Amino acid sequence: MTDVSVEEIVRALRKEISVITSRDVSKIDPEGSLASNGINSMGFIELLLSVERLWNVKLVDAGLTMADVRTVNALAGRIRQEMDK
Amino acid sequence: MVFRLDGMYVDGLDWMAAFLNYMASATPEKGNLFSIVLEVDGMPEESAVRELLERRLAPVLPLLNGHLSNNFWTWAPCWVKGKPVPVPFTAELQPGSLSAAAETFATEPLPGDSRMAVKLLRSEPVSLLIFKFSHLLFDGRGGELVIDSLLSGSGDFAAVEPGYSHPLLNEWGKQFGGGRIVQHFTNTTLAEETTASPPSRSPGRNCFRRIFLCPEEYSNLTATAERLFGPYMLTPFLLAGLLRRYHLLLERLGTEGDGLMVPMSVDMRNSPDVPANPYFFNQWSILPVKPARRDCVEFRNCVMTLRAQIFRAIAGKFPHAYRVAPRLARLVPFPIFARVFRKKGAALTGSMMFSYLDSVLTAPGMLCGHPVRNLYHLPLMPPLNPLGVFANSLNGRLNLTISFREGNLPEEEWNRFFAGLEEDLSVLGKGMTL
Repeated sequence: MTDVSVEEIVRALRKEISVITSRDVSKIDPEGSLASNGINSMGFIELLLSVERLWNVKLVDAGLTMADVRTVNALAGRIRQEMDK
Repeated sequence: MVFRLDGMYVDGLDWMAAFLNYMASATPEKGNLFSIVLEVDGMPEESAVRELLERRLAPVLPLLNGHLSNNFWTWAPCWVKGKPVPVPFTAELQPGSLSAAAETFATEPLPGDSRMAVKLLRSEPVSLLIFKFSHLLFDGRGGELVIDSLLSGSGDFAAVEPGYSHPLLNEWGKQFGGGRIVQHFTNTTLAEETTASPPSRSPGRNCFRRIFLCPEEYSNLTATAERLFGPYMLTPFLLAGLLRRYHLLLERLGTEGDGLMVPMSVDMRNSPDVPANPYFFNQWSILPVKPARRDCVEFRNCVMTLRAQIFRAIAGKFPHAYRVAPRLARLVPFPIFARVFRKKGAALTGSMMFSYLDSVLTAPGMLCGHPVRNLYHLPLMPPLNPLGVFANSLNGRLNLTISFREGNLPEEEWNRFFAGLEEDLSVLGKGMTL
């Protein structure tokens, strides 16, 4: 599991966001914020549940900050960090 | 009698909205109405507003004047277009209290067969434009989107075919699956703590109280929620503040029941299985939480409890299931369904309702050349619900509308509750916690 790269996580996150928001995956901007990619508070929780399902990373109690969700890339970086713990 | 209505079928939540409308038909407002109030700088001209409404709404007048019916063969709920009658619009100079006049309009029945009415209350330095509509037609977010389209000139109502192109009734697996989830949750919830709620279910007139937070206060409150509980945690943060105060109110009243059940309403637009059409009909669902009252005493503990319960409900796909399940219930006549609701009381209707919608307007928004300063909601409470708190934001402000029916509690108790909430929100608005 720990050999997953940040790029692969970004790819998987974009796919999950696309499912949650019913947007085309090509429209999910990895440099955009979660909100600008259509994620609202309910969608955010669905995304955290997806992260837990895909990589067994429980972000809900990980002390996420706003910096961690500023972009999809930033969230992927944080997930990668959590995998290394 | 309807034999064929392609493209006009509605969904389970529209059936639920129709049921709430049935329940509210015996109230002074004669239906389940929802109003959205725009605060605009200065005094817009009556003729300019009338022209704007007539021009933009003309293509959808048959839809706006329609009614809900059932397909003759399948009993599927569908929307039947009505006559292209203009939306009733009135305007008046208002020298007195604007908010009181807005509340009066929001609690008057819709005229005739109309499903929507608009009123302009002209005053200096601020005027109000109030959109009142039947919940059958729009939900709160849909109403906001219509207003946004009116103000910005973007979007074309006529180009968007409302409703579904098929009656959704052949998806039996989905419907039973949704029904199972909802039923399981209901049974589990009923088996847990009993639900605490004020005992009275008055059909008296609907009353409102409102609290506004300025941009600085709202920004402080949001920053505190994010710092303490993480991103996107404003909803449990706000709700915890409300439940803590509500628990104190029920404690004072000596109300029995160990849990506070809150059927939060959530917007389901942009999620799977919800039509892309953003304007019409009911695209919301329910996300239920039920913290024990002992967990509502301490603020931080309450936020954590709510957060865990919100996670559990979303992980269990409850909001999606709740949208689908009422498709089955459509076969039960409203009077029988109403009897079940009355019998189960607070266990089904909850201790209070709550919703939070962030801004949807294309900021900042102009009405006929006049800047829109704020927008807030005035939803009526269905008669079986004791209390509803509806939060929305615009231009960096937070608006909370507390909606309740006269006679459910003595007025001094509501006033005490309202004053306590104002006090708490003032503390949170300074960046502190409770």
